[in-house]
Amino acid sequence: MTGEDQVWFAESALVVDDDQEMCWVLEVTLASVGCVATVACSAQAAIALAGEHIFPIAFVDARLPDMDGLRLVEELQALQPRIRITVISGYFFEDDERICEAIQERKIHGFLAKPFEIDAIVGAAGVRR
Amino acid sequence: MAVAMLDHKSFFHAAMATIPSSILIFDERLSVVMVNQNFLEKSRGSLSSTLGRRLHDIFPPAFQDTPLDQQIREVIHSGATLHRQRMTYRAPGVSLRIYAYSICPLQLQGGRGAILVMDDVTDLLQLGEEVRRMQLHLASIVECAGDLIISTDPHGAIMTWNTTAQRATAFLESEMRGRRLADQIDAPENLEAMECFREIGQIDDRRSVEWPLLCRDGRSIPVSWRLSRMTSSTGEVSGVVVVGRNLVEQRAMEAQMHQAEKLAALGRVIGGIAHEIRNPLGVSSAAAQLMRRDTTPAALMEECIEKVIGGIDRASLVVESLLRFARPGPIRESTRVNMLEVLDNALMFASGEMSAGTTVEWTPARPTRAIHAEGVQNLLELVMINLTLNGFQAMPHGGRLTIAMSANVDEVTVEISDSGPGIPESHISKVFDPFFTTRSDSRRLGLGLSVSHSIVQQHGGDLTVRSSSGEGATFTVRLPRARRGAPSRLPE
Repeated sequence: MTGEDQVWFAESALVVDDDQEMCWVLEVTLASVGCVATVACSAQAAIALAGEHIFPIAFVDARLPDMDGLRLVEELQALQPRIRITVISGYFFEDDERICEAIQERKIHGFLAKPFEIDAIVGAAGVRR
Repeated sequence: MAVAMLDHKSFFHAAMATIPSSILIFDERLSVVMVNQNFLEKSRGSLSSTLGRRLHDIFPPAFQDTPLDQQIREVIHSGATLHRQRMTYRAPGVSLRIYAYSICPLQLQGGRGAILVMDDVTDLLQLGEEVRRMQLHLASIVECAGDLIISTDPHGAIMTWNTTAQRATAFLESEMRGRRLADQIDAPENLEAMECFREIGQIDDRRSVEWPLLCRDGRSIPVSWRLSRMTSSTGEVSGVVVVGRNLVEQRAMEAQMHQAEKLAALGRVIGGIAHEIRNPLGVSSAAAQLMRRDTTPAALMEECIEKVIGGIDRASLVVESLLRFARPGPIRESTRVNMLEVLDNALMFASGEMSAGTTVEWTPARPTRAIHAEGVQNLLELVMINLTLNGFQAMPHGGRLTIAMSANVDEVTVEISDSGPGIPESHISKVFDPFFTTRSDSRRLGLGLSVSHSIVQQHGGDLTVRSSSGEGATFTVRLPRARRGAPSRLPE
C-alpha cells in the first residue's frame, strides 16, 4: 500500500490502551507505514498529550482504567476537533448500539473489534490529500 | 269442677284422621284390620278394597323388595317395637320416594297384631340433603382454600383451623382449638398479634400484616395475614376471621428471580473475561499478520514470534482458570490454595464490573511469596469473586478497592475494602442474609455474600464486615493456613 499514488499516511498517531502488548502491536504496525505512535496508558495521560501535540489520528481502547473510552473520544475532539479517532475494543462488537451511534454521530471515524486485521489499522492511518 | 272424660274410641278416630302419616293395623296373618284416610289417599284405594286384604295385595309390587312383611311378623312374634326404619320406593317412571316407618306390637281382640306408621320423608330428606350439601360446600371452600383460614373467638382463642393451616404448620385443628392465635406467632411479632387481639375493635381489614407462623418443627414460615371481625346479627363482635397467605412459595419464586439476577451478573463477569481473552488474541493475531508480511525486518520477526506465543499463553491462562473455576471439582478434598493466585483470578473475573476510575491497590504491598490457605480452590475463588464484585458494585462512579493479605502461623487473613458509600448500621447485620440486597438493580448478586459466608464457615474460617456510613466497607476473611510441606489430604 505504501508508495501508491493517492495514499498518504498520517505522520503521527495517538495510541491509548492500558494493555502494553496491544500498544506494541499498534506502534509496530503504524511504524511500518511511517507513522510515529505516541502511547498513552490512561485517559488522563492521553488528554495531557493531546494538550501538547497535534495528532491527526488516534486509536482509543473502549475500556480504560480511568475513563470510558467513548468519553475520552469526546474530550479529545474538544481539544482537537480535526482528529480522526478509531475505537478498538475487546468488549464491543461493530453492531453494538453505542458504537453504531458514535459512528453515526461522527464522533468516531471507525471501529475495530479485537482481534483485528492489521491492514485495518493501516487503512485507518491513511489520509487523502 | 267437672272434668271431661276421654272417649277412647273417638280419640282413636281423631288421631287416625289427623296424624299426617299412613297408619295400618295388621293381624297375625298380616291382613289389614284398620287403615287411616291418609293411606287411602296415598294409595288411591278405598276402605272396602283395603280392609281384610293381605300386605302384598295393598302395596305396589315395587315395595315387595323391602322386608316389611318379615319385619311385621317379627314384631308381632317378639312384641318388640321396631323404630324408625327407612325404605325406598322406586316405581318405574316415578321419582324416588323415601318412607320412614315404625312398627309397634298391638293387642287385638282375638289375637296379636301390629301397627305400621309410615311417613313420606322424601321432601324432608331432600331439604336436609340440600342444607347438608350447602354446609359441605361452605366447609370445602374453607378446607380447599389455598390460604390459611383461621377463626378465633373475640379473645383470640382459635375456633377453627383449616387444612391449609394444618399442612403449613403440621399442627392439627384438634390441638389448636382453644389456643391463642397470638401464641402461634413467632417472636417478636407475637407481641403485635397479642396487642391486636386485645383491641379487636381497632382491627382494620384493609390492612395486611406479616407475622411469622410457628410450625411443629419449631421453625416459622412467613405469612401475610388479613384480619376481619365477625359480627353477629345484633352487631356484637363474635370472633375474628384470620386469612393468611403462605409466603414460602412466593419467597421461592423470589429466589428464582434472584437466580436470574445471578445469571445477569454472570453475563457481566463473562464480558470482563471476554476482554481478557480478546486482548492477547488480538496481540497474537496482529503479530502473526506482521510475520506474514515480506517487509517485516528480521529483528522484528523474532519479537513477533515472542508476542504470538505470549498472547496465546495469556489467553490460555485465562481459559484455564475459567475452566478450573467452572469445573464442579471435589468439594471435600481440600488442598493448599495459593491465595495470591486466587485473588488475581478473582480480580480478573470481576474486572467487568469495575467502573472507569476504579483502582485496585494492595496495602500493604502484594506479598512476594505465596500464601497458602487450606481449602477448596474454586470455592475460595467464588468467595473472592463475590467480595471483589461486591466492592466494585459499591463504587459505580469509581473509587479504590484495597486488598490486604497477611498470614500468621494458623491463619490467612484477606481484607477487601471499597471506598463506596458504606453500609448503614441498620443493614450491617443483614448483609450475609440470603437475598438481602439494597439495590433493585439486576446487577446485584442477592446471594453472593450469604453464599460466601457459608463457604468460609465450611472451611473453618470466618467472614466479617465492618463499615461506617460514608467510609466504605471492609470484608475480612479468615481461613486456616495450609501447613507448610504437608501437602494436605489430596488423594494423589
